[in-house]
Amino acid sequence: MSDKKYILTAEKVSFRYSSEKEFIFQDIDLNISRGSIVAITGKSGQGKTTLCYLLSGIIPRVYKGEITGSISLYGENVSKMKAESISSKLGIVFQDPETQLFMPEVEDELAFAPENFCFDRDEIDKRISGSLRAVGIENFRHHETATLSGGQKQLVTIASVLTMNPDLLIFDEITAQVDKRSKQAVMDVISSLKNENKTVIMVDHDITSLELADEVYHIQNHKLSRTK
Amino acid sequence: MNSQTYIEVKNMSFCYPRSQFRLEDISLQLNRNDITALVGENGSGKTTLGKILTGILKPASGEIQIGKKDIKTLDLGEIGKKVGYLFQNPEKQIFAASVYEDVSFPLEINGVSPEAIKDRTESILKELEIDHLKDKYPFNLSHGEKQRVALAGILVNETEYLILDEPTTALDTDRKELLGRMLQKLHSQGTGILIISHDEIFINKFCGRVLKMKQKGGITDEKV
Amino acid sequence: MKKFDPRSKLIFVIAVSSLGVFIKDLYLLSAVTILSLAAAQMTGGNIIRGIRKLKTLYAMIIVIAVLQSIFNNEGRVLFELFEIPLMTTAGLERGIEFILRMTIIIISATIITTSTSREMIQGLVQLKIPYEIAFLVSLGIRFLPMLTEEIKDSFTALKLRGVVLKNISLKKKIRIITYLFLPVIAGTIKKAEKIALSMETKGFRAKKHRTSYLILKYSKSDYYLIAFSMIILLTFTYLNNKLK
Repeated sequence: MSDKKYILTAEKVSFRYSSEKEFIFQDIDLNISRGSIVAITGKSGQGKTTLCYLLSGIIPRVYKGEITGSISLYGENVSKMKAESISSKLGIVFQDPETQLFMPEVEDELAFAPENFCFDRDEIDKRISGSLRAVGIENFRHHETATLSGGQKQLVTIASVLTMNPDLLIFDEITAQVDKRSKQAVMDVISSLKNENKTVIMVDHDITSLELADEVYHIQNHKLSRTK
Repeated sequence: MNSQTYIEVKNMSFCYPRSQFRLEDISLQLNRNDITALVGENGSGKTTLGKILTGILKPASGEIQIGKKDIKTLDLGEIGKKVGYLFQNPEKQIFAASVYEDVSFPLEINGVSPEAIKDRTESILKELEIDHLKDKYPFNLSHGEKQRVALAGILVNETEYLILDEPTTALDTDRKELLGRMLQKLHSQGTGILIISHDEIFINKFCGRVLKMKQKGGITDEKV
Repeated sequence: MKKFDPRSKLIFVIAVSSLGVFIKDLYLLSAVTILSLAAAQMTGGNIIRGIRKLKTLYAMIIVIAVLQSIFNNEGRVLFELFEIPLMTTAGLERGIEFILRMTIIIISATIITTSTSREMIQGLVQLKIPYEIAFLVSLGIRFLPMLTEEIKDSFTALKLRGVVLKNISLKKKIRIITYLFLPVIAGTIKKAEKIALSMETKGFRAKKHRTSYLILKYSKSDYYLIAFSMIILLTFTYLNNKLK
């Protein structure tokens, strides 16, 4: 099937939402190598979030439309995979932390995903501490999420996805709403994820830290082109 | 004191209930002949200050004047006629089922004559290049378009001052340029502008004055 | 201050609020009110905030008392005008009764809010309620303040569009209210959709069961509270029936 080198591949993918006439993407190809950091840039309205939905299987699972071509994660067709088997391989973080945090305390928030996968308490505890450490927010463990700043909340969101220990992470404009210092903190997390051999796809309309990326792609006029 | 001063804040303090955050003893003057930027780290209270200046939040002490009138004597509707406030999220200030209706309904409620409503609304839609969207359902538009609809809804009131909260966050470079040029035009027509932002490129290009908020309250003028 | 298990609090609240609804006798009702206030104090509930919420209801007491006095021909007339009984003992009783019932219900609700939503979900799960329903209830409760917040914000934003509400006709006022619907509903649905998406990508409902990192255990004081709830439920029911 697919090359072992690639964790995620998209082949000749075209897509349009059911509600729209025009295709957002036409014949997109993308190969993501294991352990790499890939940046995808593009102006607003070019379909960056839609691409994230496609790569993570949210389209067609949640949002519907017409898809041609194929997207595979570890050689398996994403559109045919169940939500639970995707989420242990692929974690996705969105722009707005407010709608990704729904538990009162940071600890509850981080326990949420491993609880869904029926891990026992010791394992959940290990995963919570590990994720907090990876993001550098051990001291927030018993904080109420509502009292944290926007940037801190986004770090909690990243940690809550890391508890599933996915190999691939998709970050959809996660620094758009945070200040410079928190942006740096997020970038530090991304480079430490690289050291742990995680694969990261970061999508943004203006990525300031492109030097972190091994590969850079640009979305424009329904096409994806490599610029680095 | 500048004869162009439009908003004046004297020794204003503010705190949220059940929170450590506070603004202390802030004094500043905002002038109609400036495009002013309000910068500072997240959490320093930029948005909070913007909301205080438009009466959304009430200060604990001190005095605020808009066009020589004490803000306490004005209700939100009256403030809205003097100072236009663009929320960070334009969806918050869009209300009607079509773009045209959304821009024009406050005028109707305030009893402006139908001819004047038509004139003002159509010219503002044209100016912001959204006249082709006038019958569209605003909630289905793109972020940039929604922002222009929200801006049209403010500009139609012909306010003397504008406060924009992070107007560039979701805009690409071309759209930023467009917004900047439009603000310059309004400025040349005599509208004072305050832009809350951390977009340095945009600020350097378009703002003549920069106010910086410090983490522990206090504001400094960085460039005049 | 003792920290009680959300389950024992729930049992107490159900006992007290059902007493609040069906007890007829004014003295018994007052006793239940005092009990609920004491329990709220003990569990650390915010009584002051609860009472503040009731402020407008307290004004209703007079309206209810007067209406009951006029239309209900029971009791002794305390005050009359042109032979219309404006205040009777029965009317006064009804008014007080109403306010005591409301106080009991609101105050017991403040007892519930002393548990976090996570504790509440876990309490329901350990009471054998399916976890999907427990989450549904808890997220629903979380959405209520979000909705009121959304309405308040929208109203502020609407006024800031330069809409002056003074001296406008009722027709225009109604129109303004309809304008609030759109952003409030659009905003709430959007938020709900995003939360659901985020929960789904974290594997919510991946399996039939769900483990829990938080495990609730009854302590001695919980057993006392449950026993106490049962005792007052039975005693007051007995007394209520006897006095009938």
